[in-house]
Amino acid sequence: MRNSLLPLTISLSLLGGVSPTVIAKTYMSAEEAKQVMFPGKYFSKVQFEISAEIRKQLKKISGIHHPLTNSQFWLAGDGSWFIVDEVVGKHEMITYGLGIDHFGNVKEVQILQYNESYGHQIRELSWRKQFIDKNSIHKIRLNEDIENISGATLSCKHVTDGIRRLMALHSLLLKKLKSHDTL
Amino acid sequence: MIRCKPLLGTFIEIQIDFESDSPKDKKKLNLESVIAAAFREIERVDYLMSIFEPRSDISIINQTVSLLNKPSLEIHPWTFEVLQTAKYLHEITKGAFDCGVGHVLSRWGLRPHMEEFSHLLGNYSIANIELEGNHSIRIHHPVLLDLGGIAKGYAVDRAINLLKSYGVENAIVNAGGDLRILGSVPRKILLRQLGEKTELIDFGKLSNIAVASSSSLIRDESAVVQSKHLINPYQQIPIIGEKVFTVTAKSCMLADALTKALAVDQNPNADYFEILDAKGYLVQRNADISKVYLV
Repeated sequence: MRNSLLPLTISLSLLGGVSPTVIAKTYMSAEEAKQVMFPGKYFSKVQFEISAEIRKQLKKISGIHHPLTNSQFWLAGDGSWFIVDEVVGKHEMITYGLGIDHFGNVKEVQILQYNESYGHQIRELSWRKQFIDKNSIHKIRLNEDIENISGATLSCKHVTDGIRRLMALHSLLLKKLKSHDTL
Repeated sequence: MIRCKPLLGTFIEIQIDFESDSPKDKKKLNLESVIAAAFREIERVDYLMSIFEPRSDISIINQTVSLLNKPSLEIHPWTFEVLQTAKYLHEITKGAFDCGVGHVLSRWGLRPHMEEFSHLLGNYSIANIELEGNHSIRIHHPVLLDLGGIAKGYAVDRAINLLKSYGVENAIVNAGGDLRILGSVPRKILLRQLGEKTELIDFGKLSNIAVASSSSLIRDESAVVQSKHLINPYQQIPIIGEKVFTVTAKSCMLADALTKALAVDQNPNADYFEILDAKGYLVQRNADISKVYLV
């Protein structure tokens, strides 16, 4: 169930330097989430263009500034959607799966992966840079033993905003798409 | 197997452990549905007790403003159970724990504003609600309830009880920091202390217990900031500071609620901890566990 982080752990441990702790947890894969939400349903992965006008509206509705470039979309024959999206905050990066049923309602949300950083050194850096920039001097320690954290309640507002953006995208664009329209 | 969903305004994690060689492993296919059922319990608590859900029991109580006939309302048994505990804790903590401070949160802009009757809500508390038979309550004076200090813990307990009813022996349910461990396997618990530099404090290994924490520090998009969500109900002022108020107890509902009483009284030796078989811990900034004030 938590297999996907292993290669990442190895590559990052070679980076060296002093550094913040990262709590990284993988709950389920995109495929598992799709099966849990829509058991047995067949989906095709689709790609499409989002016009500048729609992008502008999405930003306004959700308040999220980072683009949707990493999101992945799957469409079923009956018009259900399964979407994997990520929300990036200063301290966390969360990947989640959203199921939208054929009526256009939220069917289910599952968090796929949750990464959280500790230590102020990391605060100014974007997550993408942390994970992609192999020259980063920041060593990231992934500790999979850390599982049970008590403390001030962390808000899931970022994810809620992300879902609002995807639902807006659904009403502005996705619900009009059929699988043969996509690129 | 571990799953996570955004509910109750936070991230809820449900983890079920099973011995790989036990006969129960054959039921592996069902684990997903057992966890899904536990999440549904939490969604139900949210639906019944959220102030953001206009048809929740709590919203209906809050909208009942008649001063004339002390109206009686029948509510869901779960909401009744939480109010029963809330009232008991209000008494035993001599008012330090009070769910009737919704009007203060509303006045500070932390909750939807209820202007039309805010003038009625001066010093009223959960004491204005009387419990009756058949899961009914009588409202002696309008009050704005907010179960934000107890419902999350109750939701965790409901999820744990559901897992138990399916025969699960080892599990952890963590509602954004309010957690409960089912089973005798010791689990490592860390306390997250937000601050200029957020730290994790080792709280040791625990089993068969609930652990909850509260702090007036919250993390918004760019920084750790003081929030006014912890309230001193006597003076109706916010509790400000960097301490983390942590409580261990048998149930997560008690642990969650007692963190609020601890934040108000700041006294881990208060008699109610012993009476309720709970323990309070004041966790100071930069303190390692050896310096944490243990009861």
